Amino acid sequence: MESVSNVINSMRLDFHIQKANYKTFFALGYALAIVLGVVTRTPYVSVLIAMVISAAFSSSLFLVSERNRLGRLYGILPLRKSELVLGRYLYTLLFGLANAIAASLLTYVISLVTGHTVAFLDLSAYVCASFLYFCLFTAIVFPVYFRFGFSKNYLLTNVPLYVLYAAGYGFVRKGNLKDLYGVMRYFTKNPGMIWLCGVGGGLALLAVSYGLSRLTYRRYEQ
Amino acid sequence: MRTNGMNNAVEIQGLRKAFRNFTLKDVTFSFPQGYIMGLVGKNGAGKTTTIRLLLNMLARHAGAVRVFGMDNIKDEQRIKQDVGVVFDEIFFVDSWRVSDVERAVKGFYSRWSGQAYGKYLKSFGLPADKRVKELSRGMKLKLMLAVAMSHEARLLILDEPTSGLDPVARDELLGILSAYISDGEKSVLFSTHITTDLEKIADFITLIHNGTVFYTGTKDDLLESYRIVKGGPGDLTDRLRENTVGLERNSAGFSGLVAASELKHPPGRIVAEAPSIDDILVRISAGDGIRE
Repeated sequence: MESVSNVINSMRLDFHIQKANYKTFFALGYALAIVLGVVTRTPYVSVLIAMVISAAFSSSLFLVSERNRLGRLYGILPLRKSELVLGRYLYTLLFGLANAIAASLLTYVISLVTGHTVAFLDLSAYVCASFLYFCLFTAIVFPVYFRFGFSKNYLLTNVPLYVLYAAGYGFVRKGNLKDLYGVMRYFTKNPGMIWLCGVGGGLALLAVSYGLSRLTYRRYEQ
Repeated sequence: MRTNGMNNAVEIQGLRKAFRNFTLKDVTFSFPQGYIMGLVGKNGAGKTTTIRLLLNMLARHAGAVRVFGMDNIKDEQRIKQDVGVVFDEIFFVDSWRVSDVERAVKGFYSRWSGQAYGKYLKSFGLPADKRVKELSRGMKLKLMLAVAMSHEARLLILDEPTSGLDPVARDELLGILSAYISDGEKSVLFSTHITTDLEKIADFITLIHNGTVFYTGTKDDLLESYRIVKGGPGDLTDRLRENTVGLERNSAGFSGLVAASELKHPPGRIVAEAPSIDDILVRISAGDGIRE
């Protein structure tokens, strides 16, 4: 049974592990999000960019851990493997949520600069889709990194996402967007479903991924 | 040597772990609280594997490990509150400042003392604002020691801590360890292949060779149990040849390691000398073959 205080300590440890990289993340990630939001005159793009970069940044925890041989630290601390895994997922989830909120606020700021009006429904759709992407990315890469490490599997774990991008691009190029009108109409009529699918779906993905990571990391030898 | 009950700091029984190219076989040793146990062996002998199994960082294939009478798997969290570990390389994020290390790890330990950490930093000359990557090898070792000792660990485990250290830093470490166990309650398990360190401070020695325990017991018994024998070319009898480990022969004669019990009636002009731990390690590493 996991101890709550150990899970919180594990989240705190993850924060300290990434602390040195936060300045770079906020300076570069958010600068890119702002620039693209302004240049495309579509403030919603900022949310998307911020969340895509947040997802990549959160997985860099594994890179820092590997580079600094933190497996040894985890091995000597009075911390169960399951607590470490749960702490990392919760920390990542908090990081994703905080960035979704920050990027949403940023969208409003950019809209003031560009003179674009932000519609709450549109913003909801962008935030929820970005959050879902963040969770999908995390759900795919975390179990692999927990079991096999970061360095050797970084490119491999990104393959499903490249396939997803390519499929999305192909879909748009073929002019199949009309097929989505029905879906869009449904979500416009039922805005609550946007949140349910985006946030609920994202959390469900993370829950399944957490179970998998916990199972695989249990046998991991430090 | 006390071998059972709550007075033992560590008890390892029949420990086994098989890898593709190496197997740790039936490792058994124990040592009482308040003493220093030296774990000796050449590189790759199985010292680090033994320590990682003790800390449950590796899954064992057989055997049992008890620390302060507690099972190392069932009571892992309780044991780790009582254990401080120093590895050959630092395991903190290199961009952390020395003060960040405390912030990152103190929450895990119920008996963490910020006052003790500050005291150790001061006495070890570690500046709190210095980054881990800016520290010398000796300073990194001291930082790991400061963390290990700031949560009132009753057992310190050191895995090859002195490799790469200059003699002054090594001597300082030995001084710190001697002071640490001076209350008679704290214990140290010290793995090294630099045996001169252990000759100064160890009470017990476990000598591991190729994954098996060659000797375990007190340091004094080890040094009294063996002799380095030297003799002329004609002094090497068949019986002596059979019982000599790490036999070296040259035109001037021979030398090797022999159990002291074999030397009750040494033949002729044979000279028997007390060995150092290094002598024993070198001879058993050379094995039963003859080096000409």
